Amino acid sequence: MSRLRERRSLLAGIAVVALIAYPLVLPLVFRENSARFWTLSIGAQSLILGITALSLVFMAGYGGMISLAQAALAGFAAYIVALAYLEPSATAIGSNIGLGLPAIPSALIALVFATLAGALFGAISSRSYGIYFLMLTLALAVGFFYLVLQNYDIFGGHIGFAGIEGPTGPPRSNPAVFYYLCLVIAALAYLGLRYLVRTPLGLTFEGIRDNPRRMRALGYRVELHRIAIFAVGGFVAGMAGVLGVWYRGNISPGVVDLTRTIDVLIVAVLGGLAYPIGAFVGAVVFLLIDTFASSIVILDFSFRERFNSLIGLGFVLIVLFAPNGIVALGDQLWRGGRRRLGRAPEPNPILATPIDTAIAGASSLPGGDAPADTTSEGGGGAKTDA
Amino acid sequence: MPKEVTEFLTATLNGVTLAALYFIVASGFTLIFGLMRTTNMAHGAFYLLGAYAGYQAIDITGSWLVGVAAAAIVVALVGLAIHVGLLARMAGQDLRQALITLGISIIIADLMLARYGGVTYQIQAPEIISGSMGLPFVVGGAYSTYRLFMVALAVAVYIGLWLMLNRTRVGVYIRAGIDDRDMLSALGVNVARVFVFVFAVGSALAGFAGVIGTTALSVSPGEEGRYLLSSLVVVIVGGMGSLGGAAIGALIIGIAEQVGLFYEPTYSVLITFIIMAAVLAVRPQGLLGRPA
Repeated sequence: MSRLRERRSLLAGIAVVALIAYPLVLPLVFRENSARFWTLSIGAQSLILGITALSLVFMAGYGGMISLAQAALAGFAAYIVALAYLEPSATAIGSNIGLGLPAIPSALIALVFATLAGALFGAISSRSYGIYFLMLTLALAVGFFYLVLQNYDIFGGHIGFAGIEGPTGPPRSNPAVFYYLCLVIAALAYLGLRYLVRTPLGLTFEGIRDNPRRMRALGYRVELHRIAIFAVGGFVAGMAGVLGVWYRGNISPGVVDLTRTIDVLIVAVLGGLAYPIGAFVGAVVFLLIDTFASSIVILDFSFRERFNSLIGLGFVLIVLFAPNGIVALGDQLWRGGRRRLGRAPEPNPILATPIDTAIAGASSLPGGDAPADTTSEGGGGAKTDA
Repeated sequence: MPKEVTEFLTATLNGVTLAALYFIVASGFTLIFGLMRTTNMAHGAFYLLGAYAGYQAIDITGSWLVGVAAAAIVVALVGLAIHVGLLARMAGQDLRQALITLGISIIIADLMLARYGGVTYQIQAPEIISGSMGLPFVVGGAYSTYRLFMVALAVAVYIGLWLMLNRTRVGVYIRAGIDDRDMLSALGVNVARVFVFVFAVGSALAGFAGVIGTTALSVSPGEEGRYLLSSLVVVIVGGMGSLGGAAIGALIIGIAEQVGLFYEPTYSVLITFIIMAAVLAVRPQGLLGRPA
C-alpha cells in the first residue's frame, strides 16, 4: 500500500513539474502561433473549464448535489466583473452601470457576488434531492440565460459586454503569464477544496450526502449546510468565471447557454464525478475533442461541422460504459497491473446513489431509516407507506 | 372598457394560450416521470424533432393533420428506440438516465441543425382555424382563432389523458405502477410493457406539441432549451408526475410569463423564477405533487 502511495506522490510530482514546464517547453517545439494556441486555447482554457467542473465535482462528490447551475454561476461572476471593471460609457446599452474599477477589485467583488448567488440558488434548492435537484438547478441555469438574454438594463441583452482586461493584460500578448495565473488559481481552488473536505465541516458535508436524515437527527442543520456547499460551489465557479472573462475579454449570453451548462457536466462526468482531479482531466480531453473534432473521420463521416454530435455521442458512451470516468478507468488499469484484475469495478458512488434514499432526506418522508446502499430498482416502492 | 383592462385581459389570454402549449409539452414529461421516475431531458429535443418532422410531412403532403400525426408517430418511434435501447437497461438509475437523455438531446439538436440549418420555420394553420375571431374584451376586438383552438386542444389532451388514466385498464396499471412498481409486477402485470407504452405516449405528446407550437409561433435551433425549461418549471411548480399539477403549473407559468412580458419585458423571467422559488419554499414537492 505504501508503495502505491509512493508511486502516487511520484505521479503527482511529475504532473506538477509538467504543468509548470508546459508553456516554457512549447516555444521550443512549436512556432510562435502554435505555441500560443497550445498555451491558451488548450492549456489555460482547460484550467478554466476544469475549475468550473471542479466546483461541480466538489458539490456532487461531497454534497451529493449534481448542480447544473455552475456555468451560470461562472457566467454571473463574469458579468459582475464586466459591470465593475468597465467605465459607465462602455456599458451604455440600456443604462450606465459600470463602476470603472481596476481588475483585481472587480474580480473580488465578482467572487463575493458569485458566492451570494450560489447561496441564493442553494436556498431555493436546499430541500430538493437527487433528480429533483438536478432539474431545479437546470431550470435556474436556463432561466439565468434567458434573463441575461432579454435584460438590457443590467446585463446588456444579447450583445453583452466587451473590452474587459485582466491584471495581466490581453492573454494573447503574454500567453505564459496568463497560463500561470490560471494555474495558480486552479491550484488554489483544488488544494483549498481538498483541505476543506478534510475539516470537520467537510466531514459534515459527506455525512449529509450519505444520509441527510440521520444527520438531521444528530442535530445538524442540513439545509444550512447544503446552502453552504452551494455557496462554496458558487465561489469556485466564480473563480472560473473571472478567469474566463479575462481570457475572452467579453461576456455574452452565449457563455451561459444550455450547451455550455451541459458542457460542464460532460467534463465532470468525463473525468469522473468522484475525483476532483478528474475535472481537469475531463477538461483537457473535452477541449482536445472540441478542437480536433474537425479532423476526426469515422467511416468516411467527417465531424467537421458536427462536433456537438460527437461530444453528445461520447458523453452517452461514457455514461453507458464508463460511468466513473477516465480517472477511474486509469485507476483500474493501474491497479489491474498490480494483481487486482479479478476485482469488479466499484459502482459510481454518485451515479449509483439510489434516488429514494437520497430523497429520504426530505423531512416529509415517513418510514424507517433506509440504509444508504439499498438498490433503487423499485423507485416508487419507498412511497407506499406514505 | 378602459384600455388598461383590455390590455391586461389580452396579456392574460396570451398567457392562457401559451399555457395550453406548455401543458401539452409538459404532460408527456410528467407522465413519463410519474410512472418510471425517468427524467427525459431530451423532451425539449423531442419537441424540436416533432416540429421539423411535422414541417417536412406538411411540406410533402400539404395536409396539416398529416403533419401532426407524422410528428407524433416519428417522435414516438424515436422515443421507443431510446427507451428500449438505452433507458430500459438502466431502470431505477434515474441520474444516469437523465445524463444519457441530456447527451441524446445534444445529438438530436445538432442533427436537426445539420439538416434544417439555423433558419426559422413556421407552419401554416389549416384554413378553418386560421385568421381571427371577434372577442369584445381584447385589444383590437379580435383574437387569433388558432391560439384559442390550442386551448381547446390542451383541454382535450387533459381529458384524454385523464380518461386513459382513470377509465382504462392500462390506466389502472399506470396508477398502480406509480404507487408500487414491484407489487404490480408481482401481480402478473408486464410492467416493462406498460413502461414502453407510457414512454411512447409521452414522446408522442412532445412531437405533437412540436407541430402545434410551430403553427402558433415558429421553430428554430435552440427552441429545445426553451421547452425543456418550460417543462421543468411547469412540473416543478405543479408537482412531478401529476397531470393536474402540470395543468395548474402551466397556467401559472404561462400567465406569469405573458403578463410579465407585457409590463416588465426585461425581467419577466425573474417573475417565473420568483414564483418557482416561492412554491418550493412552501411545498418542495410542488403544488399537487405528493411528498417525495
